[in-house]
Amino acid sequence: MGVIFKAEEVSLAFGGIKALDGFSIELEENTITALIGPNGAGKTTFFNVAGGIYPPDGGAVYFRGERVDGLRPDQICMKGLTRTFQIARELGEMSVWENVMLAPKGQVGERVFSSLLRWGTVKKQEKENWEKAEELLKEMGLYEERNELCKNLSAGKRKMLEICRAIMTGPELLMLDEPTAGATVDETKSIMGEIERLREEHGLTFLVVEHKMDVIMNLCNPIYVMYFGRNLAKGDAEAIQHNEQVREVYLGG
Amino acid sequence: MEILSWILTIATIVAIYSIMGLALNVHFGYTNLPNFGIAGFFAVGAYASAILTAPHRFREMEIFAGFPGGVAGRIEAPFIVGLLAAIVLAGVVGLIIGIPLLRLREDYLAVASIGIAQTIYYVAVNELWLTTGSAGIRLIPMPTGNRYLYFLLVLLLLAIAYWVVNRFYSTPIGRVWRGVREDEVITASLGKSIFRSRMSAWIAGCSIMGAAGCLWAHYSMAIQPGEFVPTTTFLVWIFVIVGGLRNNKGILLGAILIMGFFEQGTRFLPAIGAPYIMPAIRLIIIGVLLVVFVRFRPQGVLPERHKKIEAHIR
Amino acid sequence: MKKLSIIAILVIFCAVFGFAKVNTANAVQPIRLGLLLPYTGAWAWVGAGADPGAELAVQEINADPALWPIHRPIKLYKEDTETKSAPAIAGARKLYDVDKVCGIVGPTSATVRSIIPLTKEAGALEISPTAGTTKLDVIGGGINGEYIFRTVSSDVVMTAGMVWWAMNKLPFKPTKAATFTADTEGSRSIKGGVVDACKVVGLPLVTQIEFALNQPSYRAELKELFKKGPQVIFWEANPATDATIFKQWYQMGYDGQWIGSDFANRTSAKGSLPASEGVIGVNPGVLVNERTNAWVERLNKISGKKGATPFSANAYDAVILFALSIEKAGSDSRTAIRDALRSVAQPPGVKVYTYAEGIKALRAGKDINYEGIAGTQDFNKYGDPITYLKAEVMTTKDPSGMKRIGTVLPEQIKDIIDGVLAIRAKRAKAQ
Repeated sequence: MGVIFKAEEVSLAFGGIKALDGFSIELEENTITALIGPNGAGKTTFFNVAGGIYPPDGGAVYFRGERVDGLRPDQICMKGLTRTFQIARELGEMSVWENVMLAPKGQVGERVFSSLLRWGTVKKQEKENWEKAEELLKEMGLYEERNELCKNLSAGKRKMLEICRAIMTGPELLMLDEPTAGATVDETKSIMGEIERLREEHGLTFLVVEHKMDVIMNLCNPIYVMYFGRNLAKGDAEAIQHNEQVREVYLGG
Repeated sequence: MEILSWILTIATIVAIYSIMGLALNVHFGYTNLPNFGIAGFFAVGAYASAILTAPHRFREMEIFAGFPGGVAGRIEAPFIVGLLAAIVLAGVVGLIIGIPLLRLREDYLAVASIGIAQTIYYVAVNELWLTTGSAGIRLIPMPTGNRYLYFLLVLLLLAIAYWVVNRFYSTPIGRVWRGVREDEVITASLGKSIFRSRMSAWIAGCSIMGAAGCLWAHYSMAIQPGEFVPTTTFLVWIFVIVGGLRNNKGILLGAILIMGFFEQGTRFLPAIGAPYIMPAIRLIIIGVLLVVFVRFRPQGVLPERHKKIEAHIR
Repeated sequence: MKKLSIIAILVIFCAVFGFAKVNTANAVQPIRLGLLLPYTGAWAWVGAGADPGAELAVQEINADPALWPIHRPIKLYKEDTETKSAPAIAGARKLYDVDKVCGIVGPTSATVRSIIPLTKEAGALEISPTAGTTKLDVIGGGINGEYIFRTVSSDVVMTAGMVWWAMNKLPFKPTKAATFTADTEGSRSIKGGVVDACKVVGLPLVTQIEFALNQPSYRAELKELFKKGPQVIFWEANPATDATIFKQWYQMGYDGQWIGSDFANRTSAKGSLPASEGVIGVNPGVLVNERTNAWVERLNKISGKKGATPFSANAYDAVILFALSIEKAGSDSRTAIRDALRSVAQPPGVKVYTYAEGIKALRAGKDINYEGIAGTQDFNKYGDPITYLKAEVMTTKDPSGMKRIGTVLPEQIKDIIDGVLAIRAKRAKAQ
């Protein structure tokens, strides 16, 4: 067990408004860490910094001991860190299976000449990737919709699809931005089950932003609390629930 | 029999333009790169092949007419060399232009690409040593010697282009391109380099346009810069949009409908009044048709068809 | 959707080709003649200018059934080139294959090169009324005197006229000349002609300067131009540039007689007078006589415009030549017409000035030599005619800015033209 991801004193300002103000976080390998905080606390901004969308103004982000801040999103993903988005963004005019099959890394057919000439290799890889995807879609209850266009899916299913897609990139660290938002009770359960399963069976690490407290309290340890772009508290579910400051700003204390 | 000869002429022109339509599909239909500089890449391909394959006789005649005589006619390479050069050079020009252009947002890219085509046009007009200027290059050999056989050659290359573009659609690279089209941020967060993906689509499309240019040069046997003007670009756009953007069959259908029947077929309508009225009306109607389609059926006659996974994996 | 589109294609197909069958049931089958011109696109003005000339010719030919060539009227089949080669090829193919025309009048130099192979294949005759650039002077690739002819002369003729005027019509005998031309293809074509023509007549060119158009100042170029004191300057630019050049030339107080091409026209004069007073332009122009005046009047009834529209005389001559060739050939077979052209257009033979005159002479068993409106239309071995040239001078005394001061006739400049062509043939061989 070691630290897989570390952010040190990360700060980012948008025209004078400090969205991140010296925020730090450390993720242990093979854990599910939660990041909570009231709206506007900077959780999504932090995801965007870690995911490479914004380079931070100050501080540093490390993944497996390597500095990753300032890299492009695709470079960060290739290192093994995949993130999802708060509002499910889907590739609407593509079918579910295409969405999922887009994600795997190292596809030979992503090069122009290989896609034309190395027919056998491409086909073999497609079959292998689909086997994985098929299994995943079945578990997440999306298999029936595999040939649907994404734009026709319900909000909950889109969320599920986004998680499937992220998993298909074969990450070591998955950063999920409100994975159960808009999902039904059943869907929430299967998402939670899948997260736990992946941690156990594949040794993945998770960072989860979530508003549903029952999800957080059952699934995650430790929990980081963020407030105005800064660290407010850190601890296990018990400790956070009893932290006075947290109750004040967040739990409606 | 003679009417067949005419239909074959139209079919050859339609087939060559269809290849450009397929390339535009790679650019705009797959990857959302609105290329309004098609005529430019068409010209690069046409000139590359024409310069390499023009006979020595052409150069002698230039000198006879009192001009210095440039590169064209020095080499007299065979057709296949011209074709490969057209494909490669159009790709290289695409790469060079793509480096600054592909960092732009779609709408700016559209505007900038018009400018690029115009630049290529001016190069063709002014670089006398290379392109022999506005009178263009003539005596370009038709490789089969016979236009009936040449039609088969064009058909073969259209089939290859169709196969290539179709294959792009369903292989992983096509998924990446379409991912870029749908949402760049998501596609990037899935580990795909946006710039590289856009660039590969751009170069692939440009090269196919170059091949079309080469086929055109050897069919018309004489090219001049005046052909590679924005109206050529817009014609391709119109039939792609009417026939079915994102659907390769639709593009072929659009080319046949717009270029074959509408542009050429209407030559049979009786003339009304002055001889320029019918041609002018034809152009106006094509413009109106475009507006109607963009407004009421933007996906074209044949919309995008999504493959089922079962069919894909079989 | 699939069904719908197939049905749509079939409906359009039937509609389109249905029309093709409509106009075939005439008692007397007319002779089908193609007219391929840019009616739209960049050079639409050429099509609009030439079209009435062809119409007038057909009207005159068809006027009297007794004088119809081979006792059949002529019917024009018109196609638009859009000033681009793809539509031009499609149009020419339709003319040859579907309309089954016996030959084509047209097109312009923008598209003629792509049509030449088609005409060759069809074994037909093609007469371009508008393609003037020297790039087409060449055997085989251009106007070739076998199946491609033109009723407009090449720039070689105009430049020969310019040089001839300098040698014969100026109040002094020049011994030093210069060229002052823009860096465009058109101007280079003029410069090339002038250089070779000067060689033929033995007029030394002391300076040759090329410049870019539309610059704010040409003082440096003018200073360089007059360093060696040329007495005659052959120039071509454009009207805007002319205005700058002549004003600065006037201010700088240089001497010299300027002689220009068809770009020395009224637009240029209006912009550069009074500084350009006395500047001469030598360029194509119909003769001034009763015959041409009457012709222009007849043309105006068709075109609805005053004066001769651009290339209308050339298109008129081309259609008349076709009709006479058909009568001479005795059939509307493409190849026969092609082979008959020279025998009605050039010496030996009696000179005829109208279609009616010509056909009567032919029926009387005489050889004829048609003398056209645009020129004598006597083709040299390359299929090039020498058209009439006019000389004009820029002057404030005429309200239009230019006054006609004379005519250059083909026989006057024939020697210079032959000399230029000989020089060029030698140069091509040397390469």
